[in-house]
Amino acid sequence: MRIVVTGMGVVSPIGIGTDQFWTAAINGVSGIRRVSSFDASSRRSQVAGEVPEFDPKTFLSAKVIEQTDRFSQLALLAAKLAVEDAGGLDAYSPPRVAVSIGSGMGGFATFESSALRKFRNQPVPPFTVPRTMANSAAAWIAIRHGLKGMNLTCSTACSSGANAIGGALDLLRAGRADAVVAGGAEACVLPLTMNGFEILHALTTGFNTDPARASRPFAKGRDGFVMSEGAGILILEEEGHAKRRGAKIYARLAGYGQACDAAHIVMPDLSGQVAAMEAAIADAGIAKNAVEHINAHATSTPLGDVVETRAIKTLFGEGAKDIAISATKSLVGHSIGASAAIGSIATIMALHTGIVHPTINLDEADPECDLDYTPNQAQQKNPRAALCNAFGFGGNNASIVFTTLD
Amino acid sequence: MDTADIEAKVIQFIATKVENLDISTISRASKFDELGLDSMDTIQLLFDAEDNFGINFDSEEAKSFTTVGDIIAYIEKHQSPGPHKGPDASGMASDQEGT
Repeated sequence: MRIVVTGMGVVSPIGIGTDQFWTAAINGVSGIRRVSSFDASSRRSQVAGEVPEFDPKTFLSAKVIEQTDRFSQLALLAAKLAVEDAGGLDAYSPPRVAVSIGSGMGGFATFESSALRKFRNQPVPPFTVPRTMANSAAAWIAIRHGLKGMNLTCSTACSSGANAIGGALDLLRAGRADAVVAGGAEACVLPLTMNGFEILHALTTGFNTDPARASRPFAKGRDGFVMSEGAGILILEEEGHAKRRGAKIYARLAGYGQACDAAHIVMPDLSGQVAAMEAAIADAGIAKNAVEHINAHATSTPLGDVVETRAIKTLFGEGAKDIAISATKSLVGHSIGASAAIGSIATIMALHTGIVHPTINLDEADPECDLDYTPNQAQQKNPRAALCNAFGFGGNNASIVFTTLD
Repeated sequence: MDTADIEAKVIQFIATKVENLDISTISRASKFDELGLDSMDTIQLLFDAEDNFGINFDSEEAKSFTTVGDIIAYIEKHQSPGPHKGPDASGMASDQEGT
């Protein structure tokens, strides 16, 4: 069974909607600025990828806004854009449309603000739990669009969005749904959450006065990832159905692979990453050397980017040098559970337009990162098969294969 | 606040909290469900009312509230010196203090 992507919606620090996002991406625009949603001036990491122009009032009632965390609101806008892009889902019976959403943290803005009230002996807001629960974004997408099929939430840290999309592929192949609204959402540019990552030395600290240069995957002198927020949603359906209803088709979702390191709770592991990519390629039924583009996980941490580079070299051997690699996080930072969904949209746009977006801030590469990362300038590469990688805490490695239709 | 004042203020408050509700249709006898409020909406309304009026509803008593008049009567019985309008008065949606 062939599964295709017929709609996309993205809310990101470099734009809302696929057109705005992609124009900024191929022009190498950075969405990283100083944190604006709280006073971060005394923090070690003071930069983030936020979506300041996002205004839930433009599409949600005051009542829905009151009942939803920001991560659900970002997901709802991305889902609305994706469903509209797909020309609606009326061709499908509501019980046959599933929702599969990834989020690493869920409604942590609500958790943090309600916890603060509790510590101040103020009453805890009634929607604390319905806003915080990780499945609230998926539930709200179902409510807003009347989608009565399977409703699943995947929480595997930074690979959540990839597993939600991969899980959607499995649902379609298993005949459990005819269409799936799949992707990821995250909104944890928050004081406690950022503090938690700071303590692990995972966040950048050396670019507080030069935010646009802070997210620098594969570059010499990178010192951690930039926390960001956003959402990415795909509409997935079987190719024959999509063609019969006259849908436009962006790309084929051809394969999904997943492997757990079973080694360390936060440190990356080369063999797990290789296994996930290998499994995705096998699942897609393509040859290894057919992969012409990789949207790398590439968070801009000193260790992570080296391990991913080694994993790609281990799997592809000499052929690794011929693959055009892009790091979407160089533009938008790391939106945890949304990152692979946004990365998937960048991957699909590379297949759809033929253009591979640049990895910015790559003036001088780390000597241990010696592949073609598409430094600073977009390239016309016309890839026909591409991987989108996502590696998360918990040793959770996922890789997705997208291909063109021919 | 005297009784008429409390009644007017509670009705005014409810009108600002419930979308598409004509204030002239709200009275002491109005049941929450008639105003379009489900059980979660009612809990949220009472939460917001606590901040707005500077009171604390006894949660056991509040469970039995069914009408606007129940809120008014409770405030009349337990009224504090005056209406309170703290920084958290608008409830959760804008309550992202420190975040």
